[in-house]
Formats: sequence, C-alpha cells, structure tokens
Amino acid sequence: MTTAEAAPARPEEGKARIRGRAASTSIRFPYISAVVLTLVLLVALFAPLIAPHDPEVGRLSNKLIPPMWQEGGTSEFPLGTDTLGRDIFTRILYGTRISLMVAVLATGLAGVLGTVVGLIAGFYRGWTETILMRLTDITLAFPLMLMAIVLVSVLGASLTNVLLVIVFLLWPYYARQIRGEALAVSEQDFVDLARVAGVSNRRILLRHILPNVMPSIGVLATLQVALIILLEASLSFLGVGIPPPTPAWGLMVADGRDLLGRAWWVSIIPGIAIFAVVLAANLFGDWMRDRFDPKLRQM
Amino acid sequence: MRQFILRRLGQAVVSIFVLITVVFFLVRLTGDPVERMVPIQVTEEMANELRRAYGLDKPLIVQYGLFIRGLPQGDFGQSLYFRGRTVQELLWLRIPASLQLATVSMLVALLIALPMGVYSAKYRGRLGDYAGRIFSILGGAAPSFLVGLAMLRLFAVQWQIFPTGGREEALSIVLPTITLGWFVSAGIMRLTRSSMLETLYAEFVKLARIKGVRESMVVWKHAFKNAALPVITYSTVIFAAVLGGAIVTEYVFAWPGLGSLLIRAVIQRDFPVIQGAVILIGVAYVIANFLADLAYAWVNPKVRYEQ
Repeated sequence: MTTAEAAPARPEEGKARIRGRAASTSIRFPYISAVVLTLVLLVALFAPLIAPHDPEVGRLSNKLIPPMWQEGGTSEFPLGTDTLGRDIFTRILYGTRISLMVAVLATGLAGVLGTVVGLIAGFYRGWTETILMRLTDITLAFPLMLMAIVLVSVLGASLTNVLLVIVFLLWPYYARQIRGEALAVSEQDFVDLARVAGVSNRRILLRHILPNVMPSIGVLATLQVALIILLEASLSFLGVGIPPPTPAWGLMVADGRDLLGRAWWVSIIPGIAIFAVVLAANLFGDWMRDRFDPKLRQM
Repeated sequence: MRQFILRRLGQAVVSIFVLITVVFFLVRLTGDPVERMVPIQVTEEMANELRRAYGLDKPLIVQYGLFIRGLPQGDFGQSLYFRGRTVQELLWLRIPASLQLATVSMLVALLIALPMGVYSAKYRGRLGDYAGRIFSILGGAAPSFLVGLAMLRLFAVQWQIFPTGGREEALSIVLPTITLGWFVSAGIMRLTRSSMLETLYAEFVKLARIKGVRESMVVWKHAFKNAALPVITYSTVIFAAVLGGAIVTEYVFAWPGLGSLLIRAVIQRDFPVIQGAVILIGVAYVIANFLADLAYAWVNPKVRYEQ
C-alpha cells in the first residue's frame, strides 16, 4: 500500500508536498545547537571568571586524576587532570577561546578577501576576472588538509600562521560563489540604471551589488565555521598547529594519545568538546542555508 | 565535449605545475637542511661537502630545473633522514598501504551509505530514516582523531579485539576503515537520500508503478539508477579527498601509508620526502577531480559549456 500512498493524485500536488514536507523538517530552528553555540561564546568571554584553576600551570602531584564520576576522582577536578596535573575542565573552558578566535577571525578574513575578489571578478569581467578565477581554481585544486599541514609546517607552528594558512586556503570558496552572484546581479536593470545616472563603479559595487550578495556570504561563513574549528583542531592534534602549552583542544587530544589505557579522559573529553561544537555549528549552518539561501543546498 | 576535455585538462596540468613549483620553493624557505642533519661539532668543510653531495650548493633556480627534469622518472631526490635511500623508494613502500586503506574504506562506505540513503528516502519520516540521518549527521561532525582514539581505547586497549596500530595483522585494517568509512559514508548517504527523494517522485517512476512494476524494481532499477549519477561523481571526488585526507586516520593508527610518512617527514624536516609525498598526493587528487569532472560532463552536457 505504500505505493498508493506515496503516489499523489496530481503531479503539482506531489511536488508541493515534497517541498512542503522537506521544508518543514529542515527549517525548524535548531534550538539545541543555538544554545550550545551561545554557551561556547559565553564561556569564551568569561573563561577567567568561571575557570577554577590555571589553564597552563598545574601541580605534578595532581597528575592524571580521573574525572569525578570515576573512582579516585574529586569534584575539585570535575573532568580530571592531565600528565602535568592541569585541570582538564579549566583547559576546555579556555580552549573555547582558541577555537572561537580562529573560527571567527579566519571566517571573517577569508570572507572579506574572497568577497572582494569575487565582486571584482564578477563586476569588471575581462582579464581581471580570468586571472582572479584561475587563481581561485588553482587554490581549490588541492586537498585542504594536505596543504594546511605543509604550509603551517613551513611557516612554523603558531596561532598566527594557522590563522593565515586557513584564510589562504578558504577565501576561494567565497570568491567562486560571490563572483557568480555578482555576475548575475550586475546584469540586472537597476545596475544599468545606476550607471546611466552616473553612479561610480565603486559605489555601484558597494551600494547595489554587495547588499544583494550578503545573504550568501553569511550562509557560507556559518557553514565554514565548523570546518575551520575541525581543521584547526586536526592541525594542532598532528603537532603542526598551535604550540603547547596553549590549551587548544586538538593539542589536548594529542597530549593523551599515548595514555589511552591509563587515562582515557585526557584525550577523549577534549575530543568530545570539539565534536559537540562542530556538530552544533554544522546543524546551525544547515539551518541558515535552508532558511536564507536554498540555492546553496547542493553544497 | 572535446573542447571541454581540453580546457579541463589544461587546467589540471597548470594546477599540477603550480603545485610542484610552490611546494619546491616553500620547503626551501624552511632553512638549510644540512644544519639539521649534521652534529654541531662538524667542520664547515664537511658541511659544504654534504651540501655538494645533495646538490644544495647550486643556485636555487638550477636546483629547481634539475628537480623538474627528474620528475618524469619519479626522481624526487634523496631522503635527508634515511641516509642513502631515495624518496621514490620510500614513497613506493607506502603507496600500497594508502591505496588499500582508501579503497577498502570507500567500498565499505558505499556498501553502507547507498542502501541506507535509498531506505531513508523510501521510508522518509520513519524511525529508520531518522536513524540514518543521525548516523550521517554524527559522521560528518565527528573528528576522525576522536573516533579513532575512542575505538582504540575500547576495541584495542580494553577488549583487545583489534591491534592498536600498524599493518602487520589482518585485523589491523578494521579500525582505520571504520574511522575513515564513517566520515565518507556520511556525505554519500546524505546525497543518496536527497537524490533519491527527487527521483522517487518523478513522472517516470510513477509510470513504472502504474505499469505494475514490482516495488523493489521501481526503487532500485528506475529510481536508484537515475539518482546514482550525482552520487557516483561525488564519490570520485570523495575518493580523491580520502587519498589526501586520510592523514589523521593514518597517524592515529600508525598505518604505514603516505599520510603518516608525510607527518613524520614534517617532524624530521625531511624536505625531499615532504615534497615527494605532497606532490604525489596532490597529483592523485587533481587527476581524480579531473576524471570526476569528465564523468559529470559526460552524463550532464549542460556543464560542458559553462565557464
């Protein structure tokens, strides 16, 4: 009987029904994700006020204390301690600062750079467009993780370099997307009218074209936040990211890599923190895309 | 179509050339490798001799020319860390492990993701669909180092079912495959589901049903066959990404592939090896993407004319 139920009477009705249903399931606001992300933001802002211990200095006599729900754990170190006796809970709280800082700065810088390139390429056309777009294609032609590893290891592992490399690798995504849209917008009548009215190119770009591509930029940026957090964590985990003793989550996971048998919490708990934030950011990004820019759904 | 192939081929060749050039000059920015190779007490004369032996005394541009000339023969120079071994040798040793892990993970991912995606689309809104979607959402967000380490802890350390790493035992491949396969199948499942949702409600599927075709035939032969096109293209791209992206997984499980070779070379500053590994993985990636684009243009003529 499923066949009869699934096949609607009229084709238009069927399509409307699919869209309607798909929309109703995916456009629901992701409350949990929003709460998680807000919480992360608050923690990042107020880490020094909430954190019970010092994130970078510990006491060796406190080393490898298990989380409080395990035997031998204490409420003084709710999530346990690492090999240097540092409180994992505190380090996770401070770690939000690193993750968020990299995510926000990298998204912002890559977004601005990519948007400028995309706008210029889509608006001015000609050889400017050809050169800029070839550059974009070439940057997009290589595996992200591989290039990130090589670039950071050549420049030297540091917060600034991780940031620069991520920006360098991610701007082309914006450029490609924005160029296409700028192209479409600049062929519309109101742009011609503005030109006839004697408006300068720069003003047309900033006042007429940019506002029309803004939603896409926002959606793309939200979708990239998760990717950036994951990328930074992976680099730090591999030892080509943020150097110790900074409490970067990826670095914390790496710290406990050889302690899986004795002290699983050292790496697994920070790993779960990364997982939760990436998951929340992903779900939120999906919602933004469905809500504001269904064109991007294929990505 | 011919013009499309030529244009796309041109792009691929330029990309590869840029990759090789950028990597060559980048790794030379890291400083003089000889200083890292020799003990401090060595005389300047001996260090110079070493530089001559590796061709590091020549001007950069000459080194670059020699490097390019050696590439067609797969000559990436000598490893600085493993004395007396060529980079080519080291790469060859690692290629089978990388290919094996990528292929097995890809196959497992397809075997799981395709039926799951089809099922999810067919029974949308049911429990199975939700389970499938949760599987895919989690797989897309779980960092592979977390999945890998958590499985190591449970299956290798606690219950000792699988080895903790390496590639010596037959069972060694199981945990890396799950780690990599989950991530890969998440994307494929999602795409299969949305692609199936489109075709399941298409006119020709309805017609097949009206004709009285059996439901399983309708789903698999009529709907799936048409829904599979974007999935196949995507899978090719993903396979390329797996070749380059298995680095973390290989590192976690000490899987002796190109990824873990690269990480070790990065730590040891063994620049000819970094160069070789990056170029090899990068070229494989560019070629796989090129093939995926060709396949896509072949089935979907519209893209042939897009800039």
